[in-house]
Amino acid sequence: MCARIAALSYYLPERLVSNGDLQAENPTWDMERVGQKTGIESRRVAAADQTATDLAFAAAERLFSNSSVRRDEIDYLLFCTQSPDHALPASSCILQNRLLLSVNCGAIDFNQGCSGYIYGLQLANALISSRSARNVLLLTGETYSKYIHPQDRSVRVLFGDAATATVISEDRPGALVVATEVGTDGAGCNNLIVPIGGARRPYAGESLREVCDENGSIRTEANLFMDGQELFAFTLKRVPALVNRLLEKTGLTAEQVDTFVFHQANAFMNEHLRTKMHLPKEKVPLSLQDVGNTVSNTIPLTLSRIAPQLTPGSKVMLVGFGVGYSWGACQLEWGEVEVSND
Amino acid sequence: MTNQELIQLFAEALECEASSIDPQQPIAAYGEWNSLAWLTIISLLDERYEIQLTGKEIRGFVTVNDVIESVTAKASVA
Repeated sequence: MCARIAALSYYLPERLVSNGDLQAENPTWDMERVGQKTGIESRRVAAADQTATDLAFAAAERLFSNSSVRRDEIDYLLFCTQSPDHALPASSCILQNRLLLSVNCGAIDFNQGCSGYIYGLQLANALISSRSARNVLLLTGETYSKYIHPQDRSVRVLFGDAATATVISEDRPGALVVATEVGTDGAGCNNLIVPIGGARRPYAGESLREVCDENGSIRTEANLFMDGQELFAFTLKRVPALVNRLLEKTGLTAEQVDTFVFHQANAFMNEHLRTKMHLPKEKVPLSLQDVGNTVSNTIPLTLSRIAPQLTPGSKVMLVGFGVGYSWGACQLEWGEVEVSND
Repeated sequence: MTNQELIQLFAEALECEASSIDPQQPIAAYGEWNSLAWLTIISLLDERYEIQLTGKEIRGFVTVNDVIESVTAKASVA
């Protein structure tokens, strides 16, 4: 049984925060330099009352409106998020109801970030191959903005909110999931983390104290913390090896892969990875200038945007890496995908 | 890899003249030696010498010389 990506869509919240806006708010930040290094000029941010399920709902509705996939065909919903509506129930149950999906539809959340889309494809492929599902709706939705302290430059300039929807199907035409490869190293768990708010460290007065770090960024322990240098070192160590493992599995060479869609961390890091792996620029698209790093959304969002340039049969490798640490890659053989762009 | 080559590399990352970098000085004395500059240094070291610095090591560096010594030691092991 073959699993194919049959349809794709994404949704961005309306509010746009430009580098100019951040500069006006924080006169000491050198936003011109930040923009040059990160390749990010603006990012979209969810409204105060807009959550990841709202964004994912909008992405899914767009997919149903613009593709031939009917909602009653969906028999499994996978929702990748690290900003669920509640500690419980699963946000996917809320989405099943809002999207009017069948009550015979499975629905689970999974907590992954930048590798999440690869995990979603791997799980969808496994569900279809095992005949547990025929049409899987994979949603990614993230609102890191809600975890970010407004005066924490290290993360505020990078991250944006977004959601995407993908249908993986057993009998529709589409992009074939050829192979996947994943990996984990929880030793890096503290380098990209929201330390409190879960059961290990519940909210308490003292931990909400604002602390200024050596770079002048301010945050509490209920905010997102990122050690950019550690993340960079991790990426250099793991990502080239990950790509090689998947190439070995598929028997392809890097030259035979037509397009590499990397997680869009920031332009600086992605450019360095590209040169380190000796990949030509035209094979490695960047799409973060107007959206920033949208965590689990970056890969499907980039894929949606470049889809018009992809030809059936072309070989596309997707590569995700980050929070966890967690990483994964997926080899696709491109086909007829119904894409609804912004 | 010579000390001078490393200082040249730091100067590139800091976008300044190599002659303005004094190995005895604390890193904190260079205002432009911020988290973005470190990312460039990590990337240049990886690109030119395949040497990786971790965030933990970086936080332990006080002077420019500390960085030079650490990188030189890594190069000799590699």
